[in-house]
Amino acid sequence: MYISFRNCKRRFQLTVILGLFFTFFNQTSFSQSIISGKVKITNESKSVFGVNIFVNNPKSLASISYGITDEKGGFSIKVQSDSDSLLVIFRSLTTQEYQLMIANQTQNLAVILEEGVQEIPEFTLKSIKNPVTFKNDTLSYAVEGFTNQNDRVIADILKKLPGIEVLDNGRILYEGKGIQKFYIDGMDLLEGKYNLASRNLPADAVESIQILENHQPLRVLDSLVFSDRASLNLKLKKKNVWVGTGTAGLGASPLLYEGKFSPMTFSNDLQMLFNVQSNNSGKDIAQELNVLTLEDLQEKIGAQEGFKPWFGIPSLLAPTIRQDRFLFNQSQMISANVLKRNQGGTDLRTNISYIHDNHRQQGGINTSYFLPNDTIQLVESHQNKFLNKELDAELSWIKNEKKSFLKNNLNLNLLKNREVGMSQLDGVNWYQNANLPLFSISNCFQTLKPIGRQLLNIKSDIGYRQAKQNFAVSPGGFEQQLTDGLPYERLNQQIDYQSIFAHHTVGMTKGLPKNWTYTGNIGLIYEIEGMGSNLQTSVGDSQGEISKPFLNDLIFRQVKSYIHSQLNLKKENFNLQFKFPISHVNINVEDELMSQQSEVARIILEPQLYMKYFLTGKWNTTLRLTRKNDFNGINDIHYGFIIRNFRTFQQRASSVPEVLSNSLNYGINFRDPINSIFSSFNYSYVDSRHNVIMDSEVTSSGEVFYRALDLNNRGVSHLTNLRISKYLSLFKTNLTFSGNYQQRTNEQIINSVLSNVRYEFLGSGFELQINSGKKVNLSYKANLNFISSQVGELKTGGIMQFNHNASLDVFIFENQTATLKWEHYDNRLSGGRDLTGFVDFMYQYKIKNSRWDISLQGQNILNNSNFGTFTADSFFLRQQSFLLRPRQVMVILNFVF
Amino acid sequence: MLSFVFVLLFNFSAVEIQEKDTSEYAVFYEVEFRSDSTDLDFVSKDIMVLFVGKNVSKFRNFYQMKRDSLIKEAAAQNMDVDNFIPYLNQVQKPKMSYAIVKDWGKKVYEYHDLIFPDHFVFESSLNGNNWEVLDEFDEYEGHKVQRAITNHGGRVWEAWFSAEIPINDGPYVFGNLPGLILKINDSKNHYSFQMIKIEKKNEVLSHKAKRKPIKTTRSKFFEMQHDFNTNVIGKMVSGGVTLTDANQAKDVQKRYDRKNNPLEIKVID
Repeated sequence: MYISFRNCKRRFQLTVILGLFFTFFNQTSFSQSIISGKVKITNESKSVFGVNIFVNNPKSLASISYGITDEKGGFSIKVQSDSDSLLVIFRSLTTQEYQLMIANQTQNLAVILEEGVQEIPEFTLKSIKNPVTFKNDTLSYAVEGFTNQNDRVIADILKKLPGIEVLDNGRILYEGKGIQKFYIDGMDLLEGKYNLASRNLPADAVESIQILENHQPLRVLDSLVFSDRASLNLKLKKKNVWVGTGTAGLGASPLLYEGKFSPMTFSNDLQMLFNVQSNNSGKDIAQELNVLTLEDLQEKIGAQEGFKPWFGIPSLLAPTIRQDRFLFNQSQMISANVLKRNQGGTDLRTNISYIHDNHRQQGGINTSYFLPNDTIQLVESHQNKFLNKELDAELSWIKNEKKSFLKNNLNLNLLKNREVGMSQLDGVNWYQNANLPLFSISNCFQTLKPIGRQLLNIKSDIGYRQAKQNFAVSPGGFEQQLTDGLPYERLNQQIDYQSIFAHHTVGMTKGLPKNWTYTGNIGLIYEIEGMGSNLQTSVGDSQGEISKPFLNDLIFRQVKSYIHSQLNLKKENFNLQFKFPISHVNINVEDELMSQQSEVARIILEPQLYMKYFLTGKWNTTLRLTRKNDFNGINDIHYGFIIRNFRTFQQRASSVPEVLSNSLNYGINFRDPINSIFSSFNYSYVDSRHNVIMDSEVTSSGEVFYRALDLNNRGVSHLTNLRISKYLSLFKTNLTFSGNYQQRTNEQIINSVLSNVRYEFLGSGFELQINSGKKVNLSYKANLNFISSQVGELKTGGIMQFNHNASLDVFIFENQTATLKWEHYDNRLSGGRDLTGFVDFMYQYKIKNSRWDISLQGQNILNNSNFGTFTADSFFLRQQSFLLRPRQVMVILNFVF
Repeated sequence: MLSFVFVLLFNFSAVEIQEKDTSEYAVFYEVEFRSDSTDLDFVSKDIMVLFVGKNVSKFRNFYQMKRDSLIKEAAAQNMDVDNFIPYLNQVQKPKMSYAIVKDWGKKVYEYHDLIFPDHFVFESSLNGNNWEVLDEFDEYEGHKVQRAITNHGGRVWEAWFSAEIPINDGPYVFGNLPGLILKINDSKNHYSFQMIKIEKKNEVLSHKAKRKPIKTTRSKFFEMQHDFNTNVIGKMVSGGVTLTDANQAKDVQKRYDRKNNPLEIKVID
């Protein structure tokens, strides 16, 4: 029998409900009963789970026991009380509270509760700071615990932030991707050349480092285009004062010096950063002026190709060892960067830098040319001097607002480079002098205009370049071709070059539903370049002009119009990017003097597809398919001969050279952080078709003639790469194995014979890193590579490289560190072997309670004088020997002010 | 006719969703914890939110949610751009990065967290019948609360719940008391959660990480976290980040050494 009660909130009833079961307990003082039963709600569709049941003493209202109903509404409560009766309260959010008085006896209850809504009164004890209000002066977000006494420059702190990696060249990556913008106090002073700040801005001038995830640097794009890149902002605490860092170092041998002074000041509307540097210890100062942000680099796409000189001294191939081991230099650099923020919210910025860099190289080359009927050996030695002077001045005007964006960049660049070489070949000394000045001025204008929900991107680039260069070689060579066999004293090649370039584009970015975005661009490129060359031979004061085919009067014209479309999809498991550019290219090359002309007019399609798919949390795979159709520029088409170096002439009298390449790249990655195993596999295939082939003619005296011929030829390359790494927690060690295989084949004409050339590379690597964390860190890397090349059926040679390098860091005390580095290179060529070992050390002492430090650095302790390397390429094998910087020891002081 | 059926279906499914997948209330807890057992003066603060539905609840970091929603808003509509970056900068960086979804019906919970640079998730059981409810009462901000004790993760936890608020849930993995847990802390007071706000809120009760998470187990997860904290550098190398300067490496490790007192000390599945 069931009795249901309604509205008995405040009524107490002495009624007993009898159920199906009736149990007696014999307890003396505390009687124990079990109250069980089932709860139902009047609205049967509602769940009866989770109703609270309180069993209280009816007189004192003290709570005795409780229970909670299960999914079926059932409950079972043990009660221990000496009270005769019990007050049972049923309470839940979705039922009306119900009270029931029962006897203190084991029993079974069946209860029906009324539906009701129990409102919990909203309640606020502490007000939580609402981040929605914008306060101009309280931007704050401190980075705790990353900075300490020992950090001198901001780069020291950046390296410590999780997710941030600072590469050797200074580029900053966040979560593996390059940062988009580097702001100082919200302003972009350096436009991508942020090494100037990160390597020189003192750490204690910075209050916090803000990582702006998904930051869209162009405000007007903020609501339309979602960026998955991060930007960095340094929030300064030392404002309106001059701060900076500097370095002073002295050493031997010979007398070495190194100095750097970088003062800077930042206020709300004016930022200035100056940098003065000078050294002769092998450090590359130009690195601080490299543009490191991807976006700023991308602005150069669709820009004019960099200028490449036609001639110069034969540069020794830079070997795989660190540049500062063989760079003999005397370098100076001055850089001034000023940003002024004006009332209207516009920024005016100027960046001026001047580099004066003298450096020299010395070495010898043994080349074996594998010709169809012969093998020619050449032994040369070179002493090269590069005297570079560069002035770069940039003036920018930027207006970055939410409704509009305007930017104008004016750039002036003056290069006055000179190359002086002294080469020895077959016992003859060849003196070479190249003057390579270049004047460039360019202007880039960009504006973004929102139109409804679309965004219009208008960009206009114009530039002018001019160069009057010459190359003198003494004694002259090529007597057979130039002076009917008669010797002469000097050969002088002159080139006059001018170019005008313009690129206008209008683009649109549109957000589409379901994570798609569309970007479209219409553009027009117009380029006209003129190159005139002439050649003189001279004996004493008399000069003779050489006539055709050693003359050029070339005009290169290009008009390219294009429509580029790009579709992007970004989902949780799947990323896709599809680019579909259609262009019409019209290239016209004409040389009136040589009476030759080539022309191309065609529509080009260059689709590109990229996909990344996350199969599970651990596996992901990528696929990239690309088709590219490139046309070479003025350097690759000229009808008259131009000297390339003291023993090489080249002529490109062909149709406009073009390359059509189709490539496929497939990758698969595995990440198991639970077992700490990470591995990646990559395969790439490229098929390139050329319409022009190079014909190399090598004479026994070493003179080389390169000619371009119209002949369709094809090149194929395969590249496979595998990498596995495992972390062993017990030993705090990271182990990595890598392997890669590369095969390239293409066609070449050597001394009028068409041959297939094949290049193969098989490499393996092993890496070990032990980070004990406290006292000692050890890292060791070893690489074993096999290189072989083949011309036709002839194997030109096999090269083996076995390299090791190891580094040991010992933390002596809190502020003292000692580092020892060892490198070993074993290069073998059938018959020859080159073994070189390097040892460097460093001892650093951080002066307590300041951010100054002193270090003692030693390089090339074993005092090696030469480094040898072998290279194999197409039809020749080369053994190079490089002069190295001798043992040097320096004492360097780094200070902060 | 079709539209009528559609509306009916829509209502029906809406009811279902209403019942299970959205919350009714949001309970805000202020967290104070000492992550470094060697320096008990170093106290960290944070705010977590418990979204309660019928049988399911979600426990998430308040600041992390604010950051996520700011980013979403900026991408979705023409928001006042001038305020976007300063917004993000004004939100305190979250210290507790986990998100827990509890299902009292199935008696399991899902724990989502990040160990740089991967996202993980594990499922574990809710052992809610483990409470010892005591006969002690107190008052907490106008509510009458009762004391209960339990064990979890190697710590003894003391909770104060209010029988007047029939929400049988609480912070972290705690709950299944006949009332809302307003305050809970471990016996050493290294970790404490205190209710500071209750409001009505409809919030979806499932959690989606930024990237596809890797499934693991409770013991494996905390083992990995411990491994990471004791050897940050080595772990970061496997994550693809290398610290080239040895001195910096040492300093980063020091910072992680301060995380030697996690919430879950003993983890045996």
